Amino acid sequence: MRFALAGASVVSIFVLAACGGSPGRPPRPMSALDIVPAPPGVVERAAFMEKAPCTRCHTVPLAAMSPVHPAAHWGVAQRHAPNETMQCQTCHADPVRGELRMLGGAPVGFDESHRLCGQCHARQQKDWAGGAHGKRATGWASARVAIGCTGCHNPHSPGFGRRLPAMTRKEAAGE
Amino acid sequence: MKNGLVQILSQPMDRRTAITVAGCAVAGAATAAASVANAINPFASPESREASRLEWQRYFQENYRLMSEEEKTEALLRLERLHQLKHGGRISVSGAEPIEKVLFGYAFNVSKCRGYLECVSACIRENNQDRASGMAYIRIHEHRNGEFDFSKASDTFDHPVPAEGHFYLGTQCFHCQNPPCVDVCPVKATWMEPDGIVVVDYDWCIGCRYCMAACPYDARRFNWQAPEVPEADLNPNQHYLGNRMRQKGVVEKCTFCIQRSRDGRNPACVEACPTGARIFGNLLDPQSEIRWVLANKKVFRLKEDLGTDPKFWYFMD
Ligand code: SF4
Ligand code: SF4
Repeated sequence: MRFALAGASVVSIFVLAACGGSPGRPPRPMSALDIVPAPPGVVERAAFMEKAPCTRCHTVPLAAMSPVHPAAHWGVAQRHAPNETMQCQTCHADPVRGELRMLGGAPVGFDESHRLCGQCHARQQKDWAGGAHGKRATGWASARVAIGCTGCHNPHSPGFGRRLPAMTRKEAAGE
Repeated sequence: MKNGLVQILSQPMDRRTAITVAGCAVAGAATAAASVANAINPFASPESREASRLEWQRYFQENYRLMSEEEKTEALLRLERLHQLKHGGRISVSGAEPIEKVLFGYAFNVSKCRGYLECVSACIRENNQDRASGMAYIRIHEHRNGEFDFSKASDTFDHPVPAEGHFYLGTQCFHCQNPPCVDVCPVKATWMEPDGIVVVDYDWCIGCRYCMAACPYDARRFNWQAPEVPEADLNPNQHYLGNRMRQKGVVEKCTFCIQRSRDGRNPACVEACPTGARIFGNLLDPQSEIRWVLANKKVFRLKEDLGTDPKFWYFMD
């Protein structure tokens, strides 16, 4: 597995400094507007994605595309939020630029899903950055490398389904 | 308790004394006599005679905590050789010591667990638990929403999960910092290691099951029969105080995967959980995930009033 080491971003250092304040002054309480620092490492995913960046297949902007051959994306259904809240373009840049975009329009890479998803899911993002949400790719003793949001959740249908357990415990009811 | 422990441990007590103390001399002598009979049987194959000799030595070995370094090494090699003689395959039995300045702790996110039992399945495979009896260290309890009563919860569900209107909560050994199971063991076969893991010396346990009665969390399991794991499914990376094969009549339980955790890895359940409900780490490291959870989440423990001080916390999102 390869890891993209994000390091402490400039933004997060700035936030930490701002929180510290001068001695004697209580630190500013965290608010949803604070940018939550990412853990030291996030598992790299973009390099292993088959259908990204979009420019791997597409050469013309989305608007100029004929709607006739959507077969490559038939598996994708938007089951994330109602259509009035989210459409493809909410996260995917348009015209096709091979990247995702923040709500404000700024580009964001496929390996930084925590920034993108955290715009709405701020509580989950904070828990993920701290270690209470999601999974780490390393053992407890190594530097922390976290699995990004899309490493576990399908962004188009992020819920976990209902299924049979991995095994049955009926026979183990005794000791 | 400390005094009693030191007193008993400083008395030279061999296996035979311990057994006599427990009043099991007849059964013990029979087992030992059988291996002696085979060891000197001129018609037995050299392998089976070697195995009998090793079994004999193993039978009279010290409590693990009283072994010298050489004795520990011998005991580990003996187990590896015995496995090879009996089953043909190779295993490695580690005696890795606790890492300094490490105290293991665990947190369980009740909001995230969905009853998939991936942890239970991974635990059974990692820890070589008896397949025949379906032993499992971890139990996942299916509770009805709004109800928190273990007597009404099911830990044997086999329908699609998560079931509508239910939540799931897992239990296993909590590695209590004040473990009642350790206090009651009459032969000091179970104890807490400096890194906080409560372990059992399966070669010293006499199977009295006092510890099972003393544990308020139903965390210990007893081998009513000789545990069976098909050779192909056996995890060969073992630890003396962890997932090495147990024998009939001894107690075992979760060891936070000592064979993995002392190697810097996470326990198998933590790694297997698909929802990230399980968090493990060093309580003495302020930068660890477990410390972040303890500092930022409303955590609770089971039967806190008993004063067992479990190193296993629950929290919700
Ligand atoms: S949970 Fe039970 S077996 Fe584990 S340390 Fe506590 S009392 Fe002992
Ligand atoms: S069953 Fe429990 S109390 Fe009895 S000897 Fe074994 S570890 Fe000790």
